[in-house]
Amino acid sequence: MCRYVPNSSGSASRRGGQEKCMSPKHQGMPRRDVLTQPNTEADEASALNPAVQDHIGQYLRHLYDSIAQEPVPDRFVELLADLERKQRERK
Amino acid sequence: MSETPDPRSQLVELLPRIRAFAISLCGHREQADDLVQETLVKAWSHIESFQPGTNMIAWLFTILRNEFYSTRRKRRHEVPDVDGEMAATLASLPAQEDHIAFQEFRTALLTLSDDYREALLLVGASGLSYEDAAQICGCAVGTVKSRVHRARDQLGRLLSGNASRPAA
Repeated sequence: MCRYVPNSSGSASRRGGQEKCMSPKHQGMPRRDVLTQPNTEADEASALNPAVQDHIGQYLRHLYDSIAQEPVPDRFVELLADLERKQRERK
Repeated sequence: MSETPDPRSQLVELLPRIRAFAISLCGHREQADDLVQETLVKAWSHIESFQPGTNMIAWLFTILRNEFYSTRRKRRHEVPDVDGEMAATLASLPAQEDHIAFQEFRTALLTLSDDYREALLLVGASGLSYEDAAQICGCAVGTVKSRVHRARDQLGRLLSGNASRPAA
């Protein structure tokens, strides 16, 4: 419920879970080994390394998706119902 | 379509995205949920300032980030809760190795300046356009682009830096 797919690549990574070479637990999550590759260049170069940047993008979406997929806390459902009730009473 | 539906009816379905932005922005669940609550109350009572047909999530994010900064000013003495409980309750965390890398990412994200972090979250995680993000942050499109670029640069540096250090 309330599944939010921020963009097409987010949903692509979810579909990727069905591919035979990818275990579901790694869906949408970069492997640590990419970030731990020895840096032969100065940090300057590695900071914008496309592989590192790609993983930053995946982490960002993973962070967002995991929160957005949580059930909405009751306090907010109750709050909205409360606001709506007060609105109706005012009319 | 006989009548224009009340835009307030969209709030429930947008809630997960509002929470995702709030929690990622402030890094602390309780504070984030207080922000979400304030945002909902303000959105509800100022709904007439929302222009139907425009991006409602961008409008809500504007309220939320303004709330975030005014709360932040009041709580200036408090430092962001970098090692907070946020990741512990995140759903479906993958293998331990990846978990550690993801924790490092979260910590690095919270060490960015607020300007950089919000730009990166709006564009890189929430999928908003640079134009929407610029409107939310009250700055030029070019400024958002440069903040996103610098945020990515800093994160890359921090994560590569962590990775090249021997494990503790």
